[in-house]
Amino acid sequence: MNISIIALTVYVLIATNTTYFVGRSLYTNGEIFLKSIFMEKPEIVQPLNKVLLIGFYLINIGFILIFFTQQNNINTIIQCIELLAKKLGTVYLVLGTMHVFNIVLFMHLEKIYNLKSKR
Amino acid sequence: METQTTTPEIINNLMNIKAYLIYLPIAIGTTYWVAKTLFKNSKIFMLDIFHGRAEIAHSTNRLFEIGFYLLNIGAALMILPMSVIGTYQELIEELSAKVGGFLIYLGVILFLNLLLFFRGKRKSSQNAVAK
Repeated sequence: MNISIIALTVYVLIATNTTYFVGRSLYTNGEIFLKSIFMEKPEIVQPLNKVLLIGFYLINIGFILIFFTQQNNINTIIQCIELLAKKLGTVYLVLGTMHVFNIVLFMHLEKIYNLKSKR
Repeated sequence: METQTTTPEIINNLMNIKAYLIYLPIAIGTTYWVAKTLFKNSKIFMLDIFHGRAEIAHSTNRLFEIGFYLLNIGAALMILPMSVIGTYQELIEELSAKVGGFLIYLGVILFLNLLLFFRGKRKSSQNAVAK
């Protein structure tokens, strides 16, 4: 069996699993933020949270699949490890940046809302 | 010469595989240890930032922890590829360069996180005074 097929399969499996896990944690922990922002309309929290989760999955899995292509074919284990490390590393960095951006956005919205409601 | 004939075609450089097998546990282990220490101690900051609302403070802490893991493991994997290693001296040199570079990156990210916590704490205390 061709080794590049194995490498790309491992890449897709690990990347999509990480996306799922990160999305799950954003979903469960972000719900508290949304509840705090939409205190007057609690029925909006659940659907909004689900829509946000789906958006997160779509963007990340889209990025993973676009990034899937590979230029040079690989023959040895070393090349396989290096390719996997480069691809997974980039995916993790993009995922992490998006995640931190989302948290900062949530914190900011929460603060703005709380200041408004206190006035 | 004998070892070269017995190793399969796809394993062309055993030294590089050894280097990767040493580097990855070190990088991931340090990330885990630093994250554990940082986010155990940051709970107090978070409680301060959110004026003692425990639920939202804990969830923010957890979210930042996941972001920290992603950024660090991503960087650790990205800088992994090494040049072809022939001798044990080169192995040690390559490993020290990679591990050192990664630890410096980890330190920078750690201090960025601390700055973020201090800034949040200052801003929230300013808001409390303004009210």
